[in-house]
Amino acid sequence: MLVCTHSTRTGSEGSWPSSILLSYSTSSLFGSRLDCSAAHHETFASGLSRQSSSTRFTSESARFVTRSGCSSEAPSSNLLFMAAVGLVYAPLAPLVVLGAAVVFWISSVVYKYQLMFVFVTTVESGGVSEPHQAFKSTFSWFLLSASGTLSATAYLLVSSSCK
Amino acid sequence: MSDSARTRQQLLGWLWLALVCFFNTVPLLLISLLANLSSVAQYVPFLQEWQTSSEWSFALVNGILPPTVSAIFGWILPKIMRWLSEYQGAITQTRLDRAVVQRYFAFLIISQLLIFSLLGVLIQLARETYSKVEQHQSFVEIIKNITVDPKDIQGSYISLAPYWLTFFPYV
Repeated sequence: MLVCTHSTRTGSEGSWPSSILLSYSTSSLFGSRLDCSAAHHETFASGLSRQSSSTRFTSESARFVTRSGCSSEAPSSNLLFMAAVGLVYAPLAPLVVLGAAVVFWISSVVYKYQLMFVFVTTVESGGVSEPHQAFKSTFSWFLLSASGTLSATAYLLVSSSCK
Repeated sequence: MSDSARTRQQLLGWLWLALVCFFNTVPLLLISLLANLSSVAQYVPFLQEWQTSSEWSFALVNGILPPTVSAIFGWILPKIMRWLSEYQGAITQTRLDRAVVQRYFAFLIISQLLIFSLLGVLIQLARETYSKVEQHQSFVEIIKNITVDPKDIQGSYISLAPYWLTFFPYV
C-alpha cells in the first residue's frame, strides 16, 4: 500500500575522519526519508485524524509500526545514545569506538531494510524531529570534549606526579 | 482541557517521571553490581565458589545478564514515558515521539553515562564524607576538602568499557 523510497544522505559528510563515522551513520539513519505517497494523514493522540491531500509529508519520526502492529520508539534514542557513548569513549578507550562503528554499520544495513520493506509509518511529522536529533548529536560532541579534558587532566596529573 | 488542568497535569507528569526515573536507578544499581560481578565475587562466598567451580558459566552470566537487565528496562521505560507525555497533554503523535526520544535520551545520558559509570567514585566519596562526619569535622571543612581524583573518574569509565561493548549489540 505504501510506496516508500529510501534515500540516505551522502555527500559532504563522507570525507570526514573515521571517528566521525559515528555521527555520520546516525544522520544517515535518521536523515533517511520515507516519502509515503499513500497515507497523507496526521493521527492525533486523541484518535482524531485530519486528512490532507496536497501536502507531501516526509517522516523523520522515531516511531514505526511494524506489520505485526507493535511499535518501537527505542531504536532512535538508543542509537543516539550509542553515538554519545562512542564519542565519550573515544579518548578513554578507543576499542569501544570500534565496537560502536561495527554495530552502526550492521544496523545501517538492517534498518535500511526495515525502513524500506518492514516498517510502516503511521505518523507523518514533516521533519520536525530532525533539528532535535541534530541537537542531540551535537550535544554528544560536548560530552566528547568533556571526556577528552578528563583524560588529559588525568594524564597530566600522572605525569606530574611521576617527575 | 483547560489551561489550569494542562499546567497541573504537566507538573504532575514531571513528578511522576522523576519518580519513575528514580526507581529505575534501583535496577541500575543492580546492573552495576552485576557488571562488576568478578570484583564483587571476592566479598561474596557464593559467587567465589561459583567462579572457581565453573568459570565459563560465570563468565557467560557476567557478560550477558547486565545488558539484558538494562535492555528490559530500556524497553519498558519509553512506554511509560509515552504514556506520561500523553497525560501531560501532547496533542499529536509526533509530539509524543519527540517527547519520548528527548526524555529517554536525557535519561540514558544522565543515568547510564553519568550516574552508573561514576557509581564507584560516588560511593567512595560518600564513604570518605561519612568517616569525616564521624570525626565531627565541620560542614565547611568537609565541603572544602572534597577532592575527586580525575584519575579515579577515568579509571571507572575505562573499567566499564567492556560493559559497553556487550551493551552495543542490544541496541
